[in-house]
Amino acid sequence: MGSNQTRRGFIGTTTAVGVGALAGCLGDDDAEDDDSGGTGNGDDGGDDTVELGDEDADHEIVVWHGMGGGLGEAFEEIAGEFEDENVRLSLQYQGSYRDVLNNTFAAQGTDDFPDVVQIARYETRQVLDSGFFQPVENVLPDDYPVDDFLPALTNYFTVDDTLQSLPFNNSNAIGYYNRTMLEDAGLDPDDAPDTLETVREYGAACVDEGLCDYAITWPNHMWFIENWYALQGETLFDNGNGREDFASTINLDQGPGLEVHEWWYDLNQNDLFLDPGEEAWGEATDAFLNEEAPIMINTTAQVRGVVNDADFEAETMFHPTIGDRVGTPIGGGSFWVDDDLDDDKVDAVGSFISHMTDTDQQIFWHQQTGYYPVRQSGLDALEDEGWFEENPQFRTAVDQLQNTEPTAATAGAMIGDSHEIRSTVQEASYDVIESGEFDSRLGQAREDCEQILENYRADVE
Amino acid sequence: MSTKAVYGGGPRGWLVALALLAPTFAAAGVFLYYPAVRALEMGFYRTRFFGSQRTFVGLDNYAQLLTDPGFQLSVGVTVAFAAVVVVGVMAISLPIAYWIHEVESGTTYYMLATIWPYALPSTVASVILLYLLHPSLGIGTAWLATIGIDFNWFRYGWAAFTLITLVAVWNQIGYNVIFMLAAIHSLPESLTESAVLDGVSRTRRLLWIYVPLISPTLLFLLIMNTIYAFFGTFAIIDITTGGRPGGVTNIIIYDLYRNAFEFDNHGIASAQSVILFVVVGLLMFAQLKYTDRYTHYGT
Repeated sequence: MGSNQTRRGFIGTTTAVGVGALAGCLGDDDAEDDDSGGTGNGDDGGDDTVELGDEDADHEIVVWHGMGGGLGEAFEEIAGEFEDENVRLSLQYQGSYRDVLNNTFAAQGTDDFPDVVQIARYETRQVLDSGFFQPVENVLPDDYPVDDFLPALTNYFTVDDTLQSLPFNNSNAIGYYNRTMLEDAGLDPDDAPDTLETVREYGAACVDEGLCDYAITWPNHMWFIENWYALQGETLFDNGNGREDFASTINLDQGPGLEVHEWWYDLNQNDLFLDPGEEAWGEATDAFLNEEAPIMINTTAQVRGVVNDADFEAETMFHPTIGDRVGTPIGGGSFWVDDDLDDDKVDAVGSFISHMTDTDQQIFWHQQTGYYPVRQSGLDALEDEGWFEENPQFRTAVDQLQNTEPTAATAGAMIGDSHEIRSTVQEASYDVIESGEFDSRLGQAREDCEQILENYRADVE
Repeated sequence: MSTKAVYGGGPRGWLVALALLAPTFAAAGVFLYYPAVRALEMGFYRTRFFGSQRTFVGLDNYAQLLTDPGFQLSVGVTVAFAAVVVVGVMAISLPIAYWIHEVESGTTYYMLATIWPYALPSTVASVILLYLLHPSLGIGTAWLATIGIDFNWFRYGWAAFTLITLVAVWNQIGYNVIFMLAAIHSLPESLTESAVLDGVSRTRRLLWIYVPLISPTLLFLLIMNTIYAFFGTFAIIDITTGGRPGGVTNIIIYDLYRNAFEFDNHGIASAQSVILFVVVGLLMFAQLKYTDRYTHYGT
């Protein structure tokens, strides 16, 4: 198997060649991107590798990333502003975050291993334990203003008192609603539904009025379960969400997990929940934009796409909650640096990732996508220029971030084997919202996760 | 020149024989036997980070698999899927091949129409059917809804299983028709003539005269279709259902891929591949052994 070509990649390529003509109407390839997802009408352009800079440059920095569609274009644009005549950039789109990690592990020990990789925050534990990367501190310039980064981010990516990776694209999960439709249904759109109960009420009212088929949609992703726990101030995993020590269990079948699944089951049984698919960020957004449901929960990285493409008044709101609002965990990704980086490339890599996270670039990145700027100076500048007043949809994520109490629950989980854990939980969710066997099925998922976590600990420790 | 003279006797003859066989042995060794041995070995480890770190666990992987309800379901689903696909493909292909054989005009067009789906990579076939039958976007699903069938394969296991079976069968028909048609064509014309003179009906002619005579081809197809159902249908699952819902489309080859490349555990995937090998091996053996009695190779 080629190092940067997994089976799925191969299939993707074959398929792309075979149905090139269909591609236009099939939406983006990046529909499965964690925390990103296309907006459904972007054009991939087809080329997954973009070379920037002088061919005769001394160094080439290979960057692997998971930003497709509109996010990919913004990513390339920011990278394109990086001016260093000694450096050539090769930006290589790998697919979803899952693909990025799988391809990165597969490339280990080969010449194809990238210098810089953008990795989802979920995979931090595994990436850290793999030993394939060095702390990003090692390559950052001495005067680099790490203090300016938002504390929620540096806290997450600081392990053993060392900043391991550099936050670049960060998000949280927010609610979206169709203001026009709520008005048409005779609801008060200024009183956005922010609890599970009111979300169901508002959504069902729109369905009853015949305005849409479903009340709500969101991609089936463990991130949202984690959010519901964090909002209640409870950790999804034990041992401080896996940060104090290896997590040994997931609290899935009790407390918020149970309550959310009961609510979700009820929605599903009454045909109020539109299932866009597992980790189907883009499909959920498409369904919301097609007015199939008046409410959506999704990453803030979809804001730009929603605002651009909605034929109605699209607003954003806080992530609906069971009751409390302690805070929301971070999402998105960060840059990791190859452990075997050539000495003479260290400075170049350092200045490249500094550039990607510099205040101006982060402001642009925020405005083009909906990811919040990773730096306080970026937030301040946007505030000063009145950006959030003019574009209130972009404000929700920032407000959620600033209203988050820093606790183990809101810091977010840090667990090994996150792909398998996620798949296990997500499959259980699907089963439960069909069968209603909450205790047994969620309990089984918990046991499966315990086994996975135990194996991980045994192997890695 | 006799055979003996070419290969000679004694040590020189042996050397020549070895030299001639060496490329085959080398290829088989490097690409078949070495990986097979490695897979067997890796099945005793739990691996991480693309195999760069591994822990010896003995038969744990096998114990874990055999007691895992998920894997048990996977085995059951795989066997059921293979049975439906093999029977379905052959039951549909046989009459089609026969009709093409019998039809008086436009034979070429019928052949083309039947065989082109085979020219389509199964990934492409899957993508096309994915969008035709997508639960909320598909035009086919919309038609089905008008006659009261809720073909939501995100939700219903039967729908998902039907979907992957449909794609697999449709994609494999062309291959079967080519072989069946060639086999029927190769039968002597006099046989057909005498059967027609004797007033044997079309259906009887197919079932009682042609089928026994082309049985070696059918056996070959049975085996090829079995291998296809077990190994060749990965892309279909990967593109459409992803093993969902509730694991009812999670056939072993897909589960194995997920374990190896999604969940980063080559050890358990290797153990699965060994189990898969044993299952398919036994099946092949049974098929050859059992059908041999009914297969007519001529005299």
